[in-house]
Amino acid sequence: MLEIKNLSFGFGGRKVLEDVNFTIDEGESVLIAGKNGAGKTTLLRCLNGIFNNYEGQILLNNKKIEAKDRYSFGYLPSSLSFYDKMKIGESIDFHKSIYPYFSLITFPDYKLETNRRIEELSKGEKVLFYLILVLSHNPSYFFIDDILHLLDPYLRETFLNILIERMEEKKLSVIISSQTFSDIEGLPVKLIILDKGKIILKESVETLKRAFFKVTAKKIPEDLPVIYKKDWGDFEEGYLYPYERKKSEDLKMESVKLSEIIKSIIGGNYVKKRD
Amino acid sequence: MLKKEIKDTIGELLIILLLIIGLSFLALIKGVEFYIIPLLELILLLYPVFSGWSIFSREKKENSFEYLFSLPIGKNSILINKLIPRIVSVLLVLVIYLPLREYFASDFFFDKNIFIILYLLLFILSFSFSLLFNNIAMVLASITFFGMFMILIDMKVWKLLWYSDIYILIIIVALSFPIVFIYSFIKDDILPIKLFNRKFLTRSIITFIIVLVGLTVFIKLSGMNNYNYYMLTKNGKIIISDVKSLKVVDAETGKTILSIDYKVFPIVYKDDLLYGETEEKDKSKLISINLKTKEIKNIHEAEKYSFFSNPHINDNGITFLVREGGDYKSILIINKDKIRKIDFPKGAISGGVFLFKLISESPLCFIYTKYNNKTYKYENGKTEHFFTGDIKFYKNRMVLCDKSSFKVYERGNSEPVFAKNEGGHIFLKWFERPYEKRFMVVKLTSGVYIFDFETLDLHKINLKFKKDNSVVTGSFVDKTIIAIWNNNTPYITVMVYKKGRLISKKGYKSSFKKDKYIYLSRKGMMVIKWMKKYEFIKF
Repeated sequence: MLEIKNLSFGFGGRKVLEDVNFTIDEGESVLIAGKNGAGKTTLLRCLNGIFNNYEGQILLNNKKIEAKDRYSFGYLPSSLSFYDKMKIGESIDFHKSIYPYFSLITFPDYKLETNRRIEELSKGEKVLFYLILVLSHNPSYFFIDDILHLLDPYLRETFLNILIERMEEKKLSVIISSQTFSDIEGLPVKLIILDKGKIILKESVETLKRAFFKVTAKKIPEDLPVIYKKDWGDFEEGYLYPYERKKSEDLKMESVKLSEIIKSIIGGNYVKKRD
Repeated sequence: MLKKEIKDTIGELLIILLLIIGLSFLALIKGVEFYIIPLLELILLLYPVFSGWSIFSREKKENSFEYLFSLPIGKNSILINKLIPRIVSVLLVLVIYLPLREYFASDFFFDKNIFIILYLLLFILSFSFSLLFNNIAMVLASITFFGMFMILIDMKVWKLLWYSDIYILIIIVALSFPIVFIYSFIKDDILPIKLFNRKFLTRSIITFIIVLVGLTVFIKLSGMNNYNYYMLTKNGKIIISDVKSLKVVDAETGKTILSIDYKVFPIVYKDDLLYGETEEKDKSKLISINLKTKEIKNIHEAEKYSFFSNPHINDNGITFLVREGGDYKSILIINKDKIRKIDFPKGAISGGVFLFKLISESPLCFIYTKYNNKTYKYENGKTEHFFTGDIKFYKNRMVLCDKSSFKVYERGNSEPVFAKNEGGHIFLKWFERPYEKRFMVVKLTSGVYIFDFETLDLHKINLKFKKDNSVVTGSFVDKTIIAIWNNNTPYITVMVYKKGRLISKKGYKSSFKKDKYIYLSRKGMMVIKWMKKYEFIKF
């Protein structure tokens, strides 16, 4: 279990993360969402040893995390930071020398050309190669920072299937920070929304979906908990949270997608109320 | 990780090794080595700069810091893995190059020890600046600036005399950079690099100032930059100079005979004349001070920061070498009131000279020995290396002693007038250099001997001489005095020989244990504690 306790971090006199608390269980997947600059990348960097000067604690199985514990971590940064001048074969060897349980996996319809340099790969190919590398060292926690959109839809789906398989079979925990949610809709079980470095929402997607509704009406009644509203002239469209649907309701209510939940939370009254 | 770093380092190492091999072969061509060796040395000095700076160059260039720090390797290990191959390769190049230097023994830009210090210093400084600067030119510029600043500090504030002191202090100051760098690297987050560099730079500047101020206070409090120059004349007078003033003291009574407020750096004395160097606003001067009359005479003037070095005294007077602008420009010959100056032909003499002996003025012929023990002869407009080993002069005789032979030559005779087919070592202290002494001590394979230059007699003496012992000889008309001491004990053994026969052997205890050297007079010895204190011990 990965436990993040009272995590705060900042640089240059600016607080980027403030009192962040959450846990990630074995086989659990977490989606970290938030506006640009909310602190998502910084949070993943703290978890992956790039930033160490944080306050609070990061505990792995109740012990303070150390560099050697990151053998069980896999990290795919949005910067796609890597030794670009290395050939694919060299980087596989390099990874092998670091991770003792490295066993190269294959990806359907993709053949690794070991003599190609990483700098010669397209961005999508680089992401794919990085994914192969990370999954090959068999991590228990896989952190993905807003990069999956660079894969084509087919590869994205293939990759997510592999992830789901690993979550089920090997109890892999996946922590994804993303701004595009359509493909990973079926994946996350927990949603964490950051705003200005603070967690403003931490809830399972299932619970959220049960309490989240989209309402369309000429005029949305003022007593409803509308957190995000759009006025189209002829009618209004609003997102309700938290809301318990009643059988006798005559309003037009719809269930909402994960992407709509996130959009309405980070862009609507939910955030404003907290400011 | 280590494997990757070795791979990253090995390419650069191979290039520099090929350069050493290539340039060394070129240097074998006669006449070319004069240019090639200094060039090779300069190129070699760039290697530690590059090696130190390149430690994170790949991560900066390929934007791979985030990847590197996400690996399950601690920062300490990252640093160690990156440093080990670079330190090994830098040392390897040094180890390969040093014997080559000895072999070529050419006119290098740097003395061996200075080269080693500079080489290692460049590595640690460039390593410290490896995250700060994106290009190597900036590293070079900042190291040059640091060097210039330290020279300025020494010239204006520290005013140290010994190069060794200056180097040690500069190393201490320079070490503050890698220490702060390693501390910052382990303690701080490296990303964003700008923030890391800002913290590193602030800490470095603060540490640098603290170390600089601390050392300056230490120098002032310890009197490290206060030096006295001591000389003991044959007739028992002690000459003491603190550069600002001069004092002559009777060795036996301790009474001051003479005191002059005159800024002089004493070089050598002969009879009652003390020769020294002084500086005025725009020139350096060689002067003489009559120790009886206090009369000060100008002997020669040269451009500012010139040196009057390598005095050599014999029956014909004293010769000095005049060093101007870093080069030996001329010879001064002083005989009573007559002063002659002979300019060196271009390229006749170069590098640091340990011994100099003028053989003839016309046609010009001289012999000089460098600090690497190689002796050169200038004759008929040509300078040629003719001997490697110990050398000593007495009137028209010269002894050459190397590992396999001990030979004495006389001017005008190509065959030795005395030869022994076993090698050894002649004892010659730097402060004895000006004087040609009739007797000398030599350690050969079969034992220790006293050699008489006049009679060419080699007398074996019963003297046990250990490796870390020092010895000095006093050569007087009727006797030879030998003092032996060890720098780790206060004890000094003094032996007096007459015609090779031991007539007395006595032990003395000095107040000084370490860093001492000894001047001998007929009546006693002056023991000096490293330019700070002295004591006179009567026999």
